[in-house]
Amino acid sequence: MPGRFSDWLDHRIGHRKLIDALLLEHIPGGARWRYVWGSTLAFVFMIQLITGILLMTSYSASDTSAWASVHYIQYQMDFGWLIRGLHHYGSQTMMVLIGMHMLQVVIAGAHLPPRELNWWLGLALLGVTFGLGLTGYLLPWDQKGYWATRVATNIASKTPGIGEELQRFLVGGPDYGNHTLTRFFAFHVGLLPALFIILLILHLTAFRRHGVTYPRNSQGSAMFWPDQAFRDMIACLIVFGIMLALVIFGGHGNAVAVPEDERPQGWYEELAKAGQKGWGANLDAPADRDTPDYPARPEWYFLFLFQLLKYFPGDQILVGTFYIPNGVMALLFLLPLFGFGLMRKFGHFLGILVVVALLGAVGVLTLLAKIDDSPDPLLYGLIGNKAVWEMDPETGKPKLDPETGRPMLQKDNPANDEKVKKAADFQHAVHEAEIKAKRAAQLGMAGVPVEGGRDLIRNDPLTKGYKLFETNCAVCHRFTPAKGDPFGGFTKGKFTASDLGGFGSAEWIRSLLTNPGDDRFFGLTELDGMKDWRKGVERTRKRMGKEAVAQEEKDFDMIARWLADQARPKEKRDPELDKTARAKFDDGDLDCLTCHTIDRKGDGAAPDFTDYGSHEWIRFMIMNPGHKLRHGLEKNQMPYFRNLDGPGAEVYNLEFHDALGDAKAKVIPLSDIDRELIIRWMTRDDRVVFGGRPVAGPPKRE
Amino acid sequence: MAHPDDRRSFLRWATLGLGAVFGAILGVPAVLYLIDPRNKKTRPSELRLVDGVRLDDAELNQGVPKQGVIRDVRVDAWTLHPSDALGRVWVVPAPNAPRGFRVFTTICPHMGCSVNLGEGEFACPCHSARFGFDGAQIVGPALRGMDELDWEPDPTDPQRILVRYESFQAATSAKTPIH
Repeated sequence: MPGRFSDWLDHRIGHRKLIDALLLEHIPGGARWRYVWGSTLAFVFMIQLITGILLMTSYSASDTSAWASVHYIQYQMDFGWLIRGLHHYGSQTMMVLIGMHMLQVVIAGAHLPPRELNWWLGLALLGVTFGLGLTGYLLPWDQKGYWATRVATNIASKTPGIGEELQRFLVGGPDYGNHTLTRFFAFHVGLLPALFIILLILHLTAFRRHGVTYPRNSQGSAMFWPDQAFRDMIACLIVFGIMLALVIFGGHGNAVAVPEDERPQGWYEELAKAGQKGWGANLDAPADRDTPDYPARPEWYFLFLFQLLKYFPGDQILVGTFYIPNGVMALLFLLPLFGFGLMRKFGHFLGILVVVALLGAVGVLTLLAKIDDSPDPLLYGLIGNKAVWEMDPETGKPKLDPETGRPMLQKDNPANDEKVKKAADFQHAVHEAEIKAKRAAQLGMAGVPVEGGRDLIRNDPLTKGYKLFETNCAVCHRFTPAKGDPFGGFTKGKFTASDLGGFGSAEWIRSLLTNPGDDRFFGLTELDGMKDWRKGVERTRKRMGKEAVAQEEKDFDMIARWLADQARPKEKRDPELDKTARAKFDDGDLDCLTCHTIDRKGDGAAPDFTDYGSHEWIRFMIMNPGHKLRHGLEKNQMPYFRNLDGPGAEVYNLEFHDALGDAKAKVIPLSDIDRELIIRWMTRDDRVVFGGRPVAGPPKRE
Repeated sequence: MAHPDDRRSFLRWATLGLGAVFGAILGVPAVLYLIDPRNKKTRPSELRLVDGVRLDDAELNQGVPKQGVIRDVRVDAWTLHPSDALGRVWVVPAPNAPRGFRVFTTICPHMGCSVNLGEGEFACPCHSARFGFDGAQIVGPALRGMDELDWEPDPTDPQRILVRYESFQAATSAKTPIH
């Protein structure tokens, strides 16, 4: 049947002629393994085309959505990690294969006439491949791509004559943003692939004209189909296997934690969502123009150009960015011209010499770039910097600086020179960036805010909340974290107020009841209410029996648990506990309601316990600690942290100032978002803060 | 009766000519559309508040540069960011400067990375340029020192500063604002 269908079809479209023309290529000298490089390149390009179009179906090119869409592909879509991973490693594979292909071509002397035009087409394809790599690097709109592209376009601005116009054309305006992304996207998925395909067709057509360049004394002959095609297929499979291995075992993806009930079930889901366990390509933290210290490096196959830049400082900058790279391209371009007439042997030799030297130089420069960035020696300790670390005898690893959390170089050791310090700084910056990348990947699992992925990091309680607590709160408050708490805390400095580590927990409250004068509570402050109360308790206890004291201790335990329970939403609180503990609290013997209030009951100037320890309670405390429901105007020592921005803030603040009356209040500006970040950091709540920005319109025109 | 060759010649030229007209009608706007970024302007560099630095800051007055953020509405093509960081600046104590302080943009004049504070100097993490607190390059690949910005004390609170925040063309010896 297939034969008859084929006959029928051939009668109508003549496909056999076409297929024969493509496959029945005579290969003089026989099929060879060394001819496979070009085919593997075409094969990987096809993979790039297929995976690229697949990625396009889910990618969204904009400042606010690009990172989010790539994150979604990577972590949420079935086999998104695989498609993106193949595309990512495919570009790197192509770079390596181009090197092999070029080497094979010059060794065979296939760049010499009459194949010079094809050599030039190959060089053009090389240029387009570099262009594809450069433009693709930006598209995830992550930190790596963003900062590397800033550097790359600034390099483009040095092109003699047209540089600054070229830069503006590429960037899409005076500043990096949406249009940079849409342009790079258009180049990457439209212009450059189209150019690549056209050049590839020409390259193959020109190749067919003169065929393979076989060794002079070779014998035999074969057809492309199936003799060479079989070898090509094996080679492509090996290449594909390597790519797959890189995607799965490359170790550059960031694993994310998924809630129990959303975890992949069964082998299919496990595999489809393997991005969640770190398979696939790396995704850095979302691009943020407001990053004070990002250590920008290009993709590894551009590192040699990056390294070249270092050797030509100041006015020589063009040598490294323009003259040498273009000079090398020009030299490659001229290579075939040494193949005419008597020069042919020399031309053949020169070709090998130049390409081997070039690949060698690229390799050495890449290695030098790596050496410069590493404080420790590379290649099993053979070359590079040799940092001497301050070792921890227990773990056998470098000691960490308690202040900065970074490994410490041994002081006053001459081996730790400027270069080593710089490399150590760089590695630290990379480490910090990786932490942010992991964090962003994790936070993105809950969805990315409409403002864009960068708000995941800007508004992350874990990292940003920590910094804000440091500058606003840790000036007075200690914060002793629980052991192994990833949020961290502040234990060094001169503190003048309570320790907020564990604030509002049953343990914290219980300890306060036992010893309110401890530095952990009111010891450093002039708030004496609880201290006096405890003195009263001690006095009464002298008259009490042992059992009564033990019972009172139990009551304190219960009240502590009950107060801690107030931080939870009302419907989630323990009703039994509420009944018994509230009765004790109301009981005149313990004297709580003389000073405190709860749920509109009681009076007095000490803090109100309604929803004690909840976000609402803390927010009120931060914004108005001198209110009668907190410490009261007279006793309060804490500044008022208020949002002074945005429409309506004046009204709000005027009312606030009127309410303060004569009391001297120190008001410190703190935006709504920053305040929420502090509250979430304090309560170890790691959800990103969304929205709540000051209302704004477009810039006003005069 | 015209010769058939003349007629063919006319048709040849007419077809090519009409094609050229069509090409121009589409091609010229296409090119102009593509080079539209030449029209985009940055916002005029008005004075804006530096967030996060006060001139009476204790550390600053002990000689440690402090970093501040400039925030404002930012429009990126079609996206309006109500309150975005336009950029960052280093405020450096400078006894010899007219008002005792100098303000530099954090953007490296070499290739546009963000310049960090090193030990007694500024250091760029990308291509290892190092600058003194006066902004001059100590060693490195940049063609000029760090870019200084105009600033004024905030009239409502003289310990806060207003800065004329601008970006400058990277990798040139001249300090040219990008407009």
